[in-house]
Amino acid sequence: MRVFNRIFMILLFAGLFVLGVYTVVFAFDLFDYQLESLPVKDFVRGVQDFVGSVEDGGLSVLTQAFLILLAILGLIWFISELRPSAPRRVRMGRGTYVTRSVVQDEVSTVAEEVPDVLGSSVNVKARRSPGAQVGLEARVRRGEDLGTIKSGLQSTVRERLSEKGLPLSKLNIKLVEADPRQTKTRVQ
Amino acid sequence: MGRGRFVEAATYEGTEKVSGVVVTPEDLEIHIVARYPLPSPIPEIAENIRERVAPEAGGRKTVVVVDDLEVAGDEGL
Repeated sequence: MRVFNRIFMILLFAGLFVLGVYTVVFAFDLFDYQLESLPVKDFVRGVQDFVGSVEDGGLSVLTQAFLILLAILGLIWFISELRPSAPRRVRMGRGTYVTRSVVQDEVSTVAEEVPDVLGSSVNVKARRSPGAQVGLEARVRRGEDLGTIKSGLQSTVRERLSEKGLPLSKLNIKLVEADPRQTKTRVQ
Repeated sequence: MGRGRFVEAATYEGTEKVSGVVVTPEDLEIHIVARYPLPSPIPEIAENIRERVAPEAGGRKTVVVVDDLEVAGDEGL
């Protein structure tokens, strides 16, 4: 959301800057540009008509729906701005943290030690509460018993991370059937 | 000692640079790298360091961050 905000603000400020330059040029009649020559009369009249119809309650259903949609979008944006951003590091205890890359490397190492796993990719998110939220995508051969592999992988990863004391709050495992010729390892 | 993701974990005092420790008026951040075989679970190691350093931190909030885990022999990598 912050990246979106930055892009939005850059575009907004760029627009305001351009508008400011035009205002100065037209206000002081520079380069033969004059304020009276601007075709804004129709625009002003349109705005006045719109505001008048809002006051009278005479808006069309489509316009009302558009305004409600705009208000809802604004509300969603506002709420998402109020949400605190995710912490960078995984909290272990009071004043002790571990970087996400450490958890990521450990989960990846453990997963790839499981015989049925040919490769893996790991995504780690830190939370405000202790423990990391881990998303593990493991690649396995086609035709394997996915249920057994998944439960085995789940227990192995949890067990090994718990031995090292790395806190895990949530572990989501996704198994992807892959061609061994395109995975990190062909045979375990 | 760890050095942070972008080698940002350091404190500068005059011409001296101390890597792995970030001291601010309110906080003290210690970055470490744990090495296998681990003598105890990682949270325990971090907590031990925190307990030892906190009394010397001059009332600053002390934080220990485990930057990396390495196997003996990997230090030069």
